[in-house]
Amino acid sequence: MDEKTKSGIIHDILKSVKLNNGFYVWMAFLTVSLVFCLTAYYQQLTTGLGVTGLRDYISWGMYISNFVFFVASSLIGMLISSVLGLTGQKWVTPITRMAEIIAFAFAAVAGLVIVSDMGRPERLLNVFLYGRFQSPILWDVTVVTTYVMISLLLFIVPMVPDLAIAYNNRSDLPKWQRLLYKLLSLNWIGSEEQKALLHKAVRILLILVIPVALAIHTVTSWLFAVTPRAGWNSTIFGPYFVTGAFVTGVASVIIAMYVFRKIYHLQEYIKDIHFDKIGKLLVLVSLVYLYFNINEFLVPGYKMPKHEAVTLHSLFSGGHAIMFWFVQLAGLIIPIFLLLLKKFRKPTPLLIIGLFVFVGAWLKRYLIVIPTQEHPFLPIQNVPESYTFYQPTFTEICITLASFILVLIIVSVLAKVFPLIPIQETIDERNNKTESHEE
Amino acid sequence: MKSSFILIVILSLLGTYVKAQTPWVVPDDRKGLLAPLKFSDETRKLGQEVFNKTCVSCHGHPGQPDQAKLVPAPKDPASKEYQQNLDGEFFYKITEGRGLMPSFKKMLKSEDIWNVISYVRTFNKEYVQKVGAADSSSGITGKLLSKLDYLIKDNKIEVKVIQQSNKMPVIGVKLSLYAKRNFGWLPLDEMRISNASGKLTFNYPKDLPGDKVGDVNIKVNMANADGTERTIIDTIIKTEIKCSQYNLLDNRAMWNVRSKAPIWLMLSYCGSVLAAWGVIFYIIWILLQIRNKGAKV
Ligand code: HEC
Repeated sequence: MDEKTKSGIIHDILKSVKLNNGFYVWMAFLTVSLVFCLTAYYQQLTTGLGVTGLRDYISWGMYISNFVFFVASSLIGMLISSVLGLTGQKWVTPITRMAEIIAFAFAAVAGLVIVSDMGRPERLLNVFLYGRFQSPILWDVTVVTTYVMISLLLFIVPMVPDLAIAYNNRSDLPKWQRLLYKLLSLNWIGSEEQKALLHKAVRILLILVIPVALAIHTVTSWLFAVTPRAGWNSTIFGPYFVTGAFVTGVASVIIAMYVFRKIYHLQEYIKDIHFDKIGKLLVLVSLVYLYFNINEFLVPGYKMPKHEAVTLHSLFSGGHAIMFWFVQLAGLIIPIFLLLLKKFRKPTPLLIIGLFVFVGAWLKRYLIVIPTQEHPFLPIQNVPESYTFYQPTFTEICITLASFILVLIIVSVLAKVFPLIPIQETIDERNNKTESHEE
Repeated sequence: MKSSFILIVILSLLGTYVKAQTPWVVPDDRKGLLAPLKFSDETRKLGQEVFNKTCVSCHGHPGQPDQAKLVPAPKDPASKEYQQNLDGEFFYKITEGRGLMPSFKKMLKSEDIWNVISYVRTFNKEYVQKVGAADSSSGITGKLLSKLDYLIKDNKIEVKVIQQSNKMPVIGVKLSLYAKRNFGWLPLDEMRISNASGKLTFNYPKDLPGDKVGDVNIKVNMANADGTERTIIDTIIKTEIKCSQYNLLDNRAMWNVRSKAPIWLMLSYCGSVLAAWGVIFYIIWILLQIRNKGAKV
């Protein structure tokens, strides 16, 4: 089907951009769920963090682990577009925009997740007014903001030619949508000058996003690693987090690829070969992550220093063991073995594996953040029983769900209103292919 | 019938056993101790200050259920169980302490403790004070004069105590020596007792550092019969050991406040932020150019 004409491609890809009933129903469902979950937030805002399971000793719970997960998922934009794109991996073309949407949505909501962990959110401003240069919290807030901006640009800038195409080809769209295309397409006429400028802008962005993305997750890891707490006091926390982020991100892209291919009928653009390739990518990043996991657990586990032993035992064989081994086996080791076989890199099996990896990755963040706080250096004394362990409350779970719903809303809207597959690049690539055939 | 009776007895015994804390017994000769002064609005005010500074954290605000959750629980000063103590019992318990209840005899002066007692008594409507004899607690009445001689070379400090009125030596007073440090007072040497000529000698440690010029602030306390102490000398002595203490918070450091952040860190942070956002604005500028180029055509 490679011989599809230019107009055929344009027609195919732009088919989805018109809002339809299915979309309205889906959005209505998301909005209602969001409103329900936000009542939980209202309760937290008015009564305080006492409605959560957070107490004096375990003061970072589900919110912070969810934050780490969101930041991790947002790194995927950098991996797909920059690292693979810049090294000339052509197969990523149809999924770059999807990856950028996911990156932007998770990064933007990650900031809100942090705010939800604050009993007095209006005091966020104090970070900027009185924040210390020495504090990783200030670095984190800075770098998250920067990364959200870059992700947004990386979503919009490469799309400029496509928006011009969309504007010219879909005169049947509602006014606001056409106006949006016109505004964002920046008077694109495809002149050589414009092409050169755009190429430059995209290049710079693709390079800039690499250090910023590394920084965002390394700084997130430092929020933990700069303390002497057992389990956080680790020199490899930065790369450990970054490699873990790639695993999470690839899993989210796999899920998105499957879903959008199905509902937008993109089988001609997102083919089995793409699933095969991204399946291999998942093996690669998982192996790297496994390597870091072995270092992170085998080395302290071998020495079993007294103050770390309690936490390690609680993971290996204690209260958190079931979750720990589920995460390591079902979320990492078994997927690696399965994905080595070609038949598991087909869309449906890959989707199922991707879901396991995704859930495993979320639980992994939970295990990084919470268990060690149950075993502080100074003994826990003279507090009610409920202070000695952590159990998220219903309110907390609702607020966490709200953050996921927000991500879904952002992803759904962006993927609906804008062309999801890069049009111009697809056309260019197919032209190149036919040209080289002719030569 | 009989067995159920026994069961009830056992159960009720068990019940009282679980409920009762070991009672805090005050020796008989200390129970009857009375305040040497009449409680007044003045003492109650001073007592309230001490209470709010030193006791609230555990005992909470009198009449409010905000006591610290300790075992055994510190009682609410407004409660019946607390108020049933005699003044002497209060004094004993506060000076000696037990378990988590700290001993205050080194921390508070005996007046302070009586002031606190006078304050907590305001929460007992039935209380009527019985005043004791004036300062009988020290066993020594009248004003004391004391003279301090020191010869640091021998590492000895000699103290002589005499009665102010008749200049007679005071025999058998118990004195302790302290040096001021960053937080509170450091006890030096043991408690000594004055001899027939009113004299006693402390050993002064060889290696105790003074301040920048070698000054050490020392004090000598006299033990009262009630277990508290009162300061009779508070003075500065000169020593050879100078100590140029510097405060870790004076210099730029990772753990310091924002204005004392390390320069390299501020430069790296500001530099990275400027670089990243500089590039972002450059991109936006390119985008504007793209827009202009298209508009011309
Ligand atoms: C560190 C916490 C703490 C502080 C500070 C503290 N207390 Fe206590 N206090 C306790 C505890 C615990 C008990 C119970 C001790 C026991 O029964 O073994 C107690 C018992 C007492 C009792 C005996 C009550 C009874 O059972 O008859 C008195 C009187 C008392 N405190 C007075 C004071 C005063 C006055 C202060 C301040 C100068 C003070 N406490 C400061 C913890 C504290």
